[in-house]
Amino acid sequence: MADQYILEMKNITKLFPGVRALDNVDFCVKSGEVRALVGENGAGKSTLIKILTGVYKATSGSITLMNQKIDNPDSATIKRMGLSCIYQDQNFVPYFSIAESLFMDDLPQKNYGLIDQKKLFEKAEALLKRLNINLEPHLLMGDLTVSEQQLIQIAAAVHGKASIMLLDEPTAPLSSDEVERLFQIINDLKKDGVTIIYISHRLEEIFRIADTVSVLRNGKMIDTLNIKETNQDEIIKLMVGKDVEEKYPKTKVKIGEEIFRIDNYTSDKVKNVSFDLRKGEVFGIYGVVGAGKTELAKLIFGADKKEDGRLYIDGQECVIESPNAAIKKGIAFVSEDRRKEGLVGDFSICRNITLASLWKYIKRIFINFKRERTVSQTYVGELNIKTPTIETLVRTLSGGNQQKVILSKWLSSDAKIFILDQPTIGVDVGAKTEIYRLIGTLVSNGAGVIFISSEIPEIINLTDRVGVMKHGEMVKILDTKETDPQKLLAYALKGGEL
Amino acid sequence: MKNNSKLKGQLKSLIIYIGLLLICIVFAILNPTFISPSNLMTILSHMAPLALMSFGLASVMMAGDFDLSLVGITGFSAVTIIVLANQFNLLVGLLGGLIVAVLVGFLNGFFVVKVGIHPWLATIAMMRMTFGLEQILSKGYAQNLNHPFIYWLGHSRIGFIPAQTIFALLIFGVMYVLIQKHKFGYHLYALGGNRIAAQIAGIRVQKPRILAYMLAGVLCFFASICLTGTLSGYTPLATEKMVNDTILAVFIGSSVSKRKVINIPGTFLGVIIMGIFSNGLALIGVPSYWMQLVKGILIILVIVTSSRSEKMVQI
Ligand SMILES: Nc1ncnc2c1ncn2[C@@H]1O[C@H](COP(=O)(O)OP(=O)(O)OP(=O)(O)O)[C@@H](O)[C@H]1O
Ligand SMILES: [Mg+2]
Repeated sequence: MADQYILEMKNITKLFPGVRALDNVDFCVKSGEVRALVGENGAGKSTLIKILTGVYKATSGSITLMNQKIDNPDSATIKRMGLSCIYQDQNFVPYFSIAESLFMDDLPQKNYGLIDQKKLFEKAEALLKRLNINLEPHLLMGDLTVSEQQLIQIAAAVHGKASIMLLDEPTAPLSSDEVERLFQIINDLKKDGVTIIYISHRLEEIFRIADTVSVLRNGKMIDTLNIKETNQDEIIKLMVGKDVEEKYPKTKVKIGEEIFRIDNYTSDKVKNVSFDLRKGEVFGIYGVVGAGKTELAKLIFGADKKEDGRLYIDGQECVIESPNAAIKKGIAFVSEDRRKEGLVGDFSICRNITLASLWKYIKRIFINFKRERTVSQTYVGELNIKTPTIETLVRTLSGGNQQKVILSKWLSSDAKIFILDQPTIGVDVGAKTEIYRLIGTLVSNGAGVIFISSEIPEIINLTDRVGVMKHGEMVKILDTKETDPQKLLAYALKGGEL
Repeated sequence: MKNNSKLKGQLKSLIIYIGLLLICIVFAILNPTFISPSNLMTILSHMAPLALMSFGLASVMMAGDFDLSLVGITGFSAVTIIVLANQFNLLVGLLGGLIVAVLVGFLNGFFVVKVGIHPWLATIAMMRMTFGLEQILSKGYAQNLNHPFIYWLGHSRIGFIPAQTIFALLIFGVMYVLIQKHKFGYHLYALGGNRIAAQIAGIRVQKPRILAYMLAGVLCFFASICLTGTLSGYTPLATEKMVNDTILAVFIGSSVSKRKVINIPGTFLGVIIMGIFSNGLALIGVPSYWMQLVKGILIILVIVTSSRSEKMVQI
């Protein structure tokens, strides 16, 4: 029996300072199987993957890959054995071109190790075309959007002849049609008999592609189920250890007067966008990828250059030309590209949370550490950030927990207008609900929230009104109560009048 | 409209050359000797050791490391060459110089990459040690070396270009291919850009970096030959003041590149700029106590203009 397993990880334990990330975990996968791996933020999913690929060394345990015992795996060897991985924390060289990034592991070469530039670009073009990715191979990675970067990393992982593919939350930065494209790719791999290990917080994805699902909780392997014999609620229950009552809690708030408005906002990527936001309101912005949602958010926040348009706060015209000015006017922005824009990895959780509003904790010239700690502790508790202490360095947290820290940072500031760009990406079910609840708290305290998402259920369930964007324009503003998913999607794809 | 902005872009990318030309004109007006052929040749030949060391520094820095000991290696290697050449013969001297240069480069790499000491600490210590060895070997006295080949390298010309400049240009060619066209350079760039990404892609994290340190050692050895030629020997600590210029040359190089990365042609441009400044300022008779200030201002000007005129180096 055992010999049909392509991968056997036995009794894996991994200790980090103060954390038992994995506790005696067994993880065995059969050849050609599509195995989903789920669990709350910090459950140990990424750690398990990284032990397999040689990024971390297990404290104890054994790994057998293709009937070969692996004692001291290093990334290069593992890769040569046919194991390809897309990591959760995006790793790329910002100044490399797409072509160079795609073939980082095997560059086309001429004699004496000289790089064959022409062939490199031809190969890159062919690969991009085969995978239906519409990008020029000479563009630099650092100039791409997060989702484009992710697509390139997916492409880089699939170009070789892998026999096992590991995907750690590959869809987190992707929009729905890019997700479809990824599934197309996964299906092709499946047909070729590639074994796939797939980590995601989006359970519907798992039901679409996986054969089996393993649940990790607190570093322990809880169970492995056949996907046909289970359902979302059962998996959630296994993940969390209890039932989750309401998925989309929406707080009823009386909507007040206008607190924010833009007229004809225009930049090189955003065209003529006008909308207003009222006190207590959640205004959704929906659109497929490339619709200009993030660009609009950055423009409002003063991070991009404005070409035209006016902005009013509480009816008074304001000029916002830098993020600093925006913060001073009471605008908070939770960016989509959190890793790059949101965190100081070598600061503690506590200091990261209070960073955007540190002045609040300063008495004369000293920081009031006690208050700083109390506030941080509250958020760590509320959002269930999994960490030994609030002094832990943010760098060492799991991906989803890092996101929670960034959210806390902005939520604890005194802003009146919150722009949340895809705030629930990569966080687990429980924390999602908690974030929705926090949005409710914000608006009931009199703030207004601009909620950007490409997930329709969120938009439908949480917003009061929704603006649909396409090609940088806001094609339609709808009352959320009077719309439905089909209509939203139709506006997002076709634009204008239906 | 379009054409206009394209023209503007091209002008912008030329701005540093225009600025350099203007500065040269000012130098020439204040002291016409500046553009005399013999002075231009002096500038060229003085540039060779600086260029070679800067290429070495560039390779180390591309991989995300740093090396402050290069000037020390060059001095140590020069003294080693002279002492051995005077005792035995030039070949033994050159061999000895090469060995010590590569060895110190390797030790740098070993301490930084394998032991994990911060590059600044490890290489400052190494700089001290090499300067120390240099002084112990020379007992602090200027060393002479009379050898026809060394004299030829330091003082003669091929056509009208100084021999050591030709030598430096040859090495430039090799380095250009190695760094900008070869797998080795690509790996260094990957390691410097994102070490984890490089590791995940199966690029070795340690070997290329140690090799870069050793390569820098070899380049210092070359620099020490040129220097010995020019000085017909070596004065202890002659290289000490060059450390800033190597760093500046590398940074000017990265600020003029399209991708804002450290690169070989840009570093070369940086070396030329540093060479022109040193020589020109000395010639126009800036009082010595004003020299540092003026040089500092010029350097800031260069960095500001060059960082606004990207795309000068298509790398
Ligand atoms: N380098 C590290 N140093 C210290 N602790 C770490 C390190 N990497 C991970 N951890 C800890 O190990 C635990 C598991 O982290 P892991 O990244 O595997 O979680 P995950 O299941 O992938 O979560 P997510 O869904 O948020 O990505 C977390 O508590 C995390 O804080
Ligand atoms: Mg993870």
